[in-house]
Amino acid sequence: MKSKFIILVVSSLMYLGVACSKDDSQVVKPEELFTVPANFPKPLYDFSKNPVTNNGFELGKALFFDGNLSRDGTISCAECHNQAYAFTHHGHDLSHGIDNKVGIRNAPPIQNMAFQKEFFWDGGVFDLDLFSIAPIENPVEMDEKLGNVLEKLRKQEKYTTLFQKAYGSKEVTTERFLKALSQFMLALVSANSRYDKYVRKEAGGTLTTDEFAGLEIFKQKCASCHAGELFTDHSYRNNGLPVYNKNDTGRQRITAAGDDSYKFKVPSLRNIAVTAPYMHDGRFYSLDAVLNHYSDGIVESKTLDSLLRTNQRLGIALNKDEKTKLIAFLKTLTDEEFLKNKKFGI
Amino acid sequence: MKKIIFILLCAVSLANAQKTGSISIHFDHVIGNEPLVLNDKKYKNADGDEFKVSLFQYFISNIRLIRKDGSTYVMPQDQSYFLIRESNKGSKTITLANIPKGKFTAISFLIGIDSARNASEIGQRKGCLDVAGEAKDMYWAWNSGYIFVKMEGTSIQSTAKNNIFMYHIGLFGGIGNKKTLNNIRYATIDFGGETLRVKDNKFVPVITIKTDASRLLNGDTNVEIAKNPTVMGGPFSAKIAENYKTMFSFAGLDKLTTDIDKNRKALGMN
Repeated sequence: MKSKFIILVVSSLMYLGVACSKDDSQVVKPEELFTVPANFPKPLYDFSKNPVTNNGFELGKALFFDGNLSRDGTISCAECHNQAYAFTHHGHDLSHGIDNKVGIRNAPPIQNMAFQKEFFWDGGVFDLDLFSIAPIENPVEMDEKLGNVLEKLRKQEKYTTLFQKAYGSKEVTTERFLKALSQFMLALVSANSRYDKYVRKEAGGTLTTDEFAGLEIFKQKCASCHAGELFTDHSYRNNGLPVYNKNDTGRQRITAAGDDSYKFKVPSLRNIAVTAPYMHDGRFYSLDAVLNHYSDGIVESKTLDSLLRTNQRLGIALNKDEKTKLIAFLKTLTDEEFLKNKKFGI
Repeated sequence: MKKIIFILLCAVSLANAQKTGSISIHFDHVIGNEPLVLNDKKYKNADGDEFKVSLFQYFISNIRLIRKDGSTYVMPQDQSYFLIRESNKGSKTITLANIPKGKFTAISFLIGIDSARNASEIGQRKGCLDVAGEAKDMYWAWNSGYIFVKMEGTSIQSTAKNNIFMYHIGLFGGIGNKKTLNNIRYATIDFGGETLRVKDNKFVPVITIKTDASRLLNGDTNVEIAKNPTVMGGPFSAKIAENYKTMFSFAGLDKLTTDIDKNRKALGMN
């Protein structure tokens, strides 16, 4: 009888334990902060390890806009990733960080992160949850140690409250910090441009004759690299830019493979009209300059992409009229709802 | 039925308690035949370069104990990641618990961190793998992965600023289409005919392993510090990994110890 009673107590305690931990994870009710747009491919991020919740998103947003993530409190993520410009560093060819230091690359947009499997121009980071460590610890960006950031947050009631809400306890850990930032970035989905509405046959989805002609030219001459609804095939290519910085060999810095030298990630073209300047080093300040490069500026090299070396000709044949139409089309990829969505700002 | 399971569980855990024991491993850091002393002592490598060491640390993981018949006991992976730092005396002695009772003649481990853990989600990176904590200076954020072995110091031959040299060796091969160098190496250390007896938790034997930091510089490739003052990830890192895979050797087995604390005291590790 006595042992039976003990078993009962033990098993009900165990039951209670399970129930409690279940409750903890359900304190935060998942909301529709992330949905897959109808014309998008499947997300590559594993949401089972980090479901986006309203409170997790709010915590991530607070962190994204907080200068405390940098050594001297001056540089937040938002410094180089400004919503109005699809979370890029408007007007800066190279990103401009702490102590007025300048990096070697142009800050890429933060959008549709769930649909990418590698990050940075060279793809050196393969998990969004590991991404934020790099700018925080980069000596020319935020120049702080992640451990110090967590210490600073632990001392602020604002954050212990936000962590409590997001995770059910006040504990500030590496995992919770990084996953909250991921949640904010995962929610940054841009899929409501006029082009999207055209593709989904939604109201407002009309293209002008020129824009439509531009789309047709795009499909013929650009879409082999800028493929699919994300306008990138996620590959790394040498697009024939004259080398300005010999030390930045792009993808080769990661793989150490000679045939990767001066290759950079094919960027998405979503919101391209607002993310100038262009290329990994921000060398072109207009879309005209970009198209002129592809038609007349390609430089031969060992790793030049074979698609830019066809019919005994370097580059892509594009006349003035085609360029005008292409640019008209590219401008339909601007998603005003995304750029102005108050949910993503403070 | 419930009762039976409960009793069975008790019995199993009781049996386990009697069938396992602990061991300690002490890492003794040297440069050739001399003890490693940070900052003050001058050494020479095979190339004749003079150098001082300011930092020396490395990960070991995926530990196995090998029996005379060749069979092995594989430590549960979660419990087999250790960061050994010359600057932290306590880190140079590690204790492995819940080893099945028996006799072992060798130990093997991975120098660094296996590729699965290098690619694992952030939630599985705790303790010495916490990139904001213990592993903060053993992780590359821009090319995701742990640094396996790190040695820094100065050499009059170094052509880098302030005569510094830095060898940060990592790279686990990458994942998916992200292929990188694979500098994962393994070490197997034979106890030279001696037998490690695992009995219980009161009788804790101590294996002393000598780690010769000069092996980063000397071996199949004798490193000229003037030519390679900074190595972090380029193709030359593979040559240093090939060198250091031989840096561990057996230096002794203490059998007459009774508990971990006394062991540490006797060996002057506290």
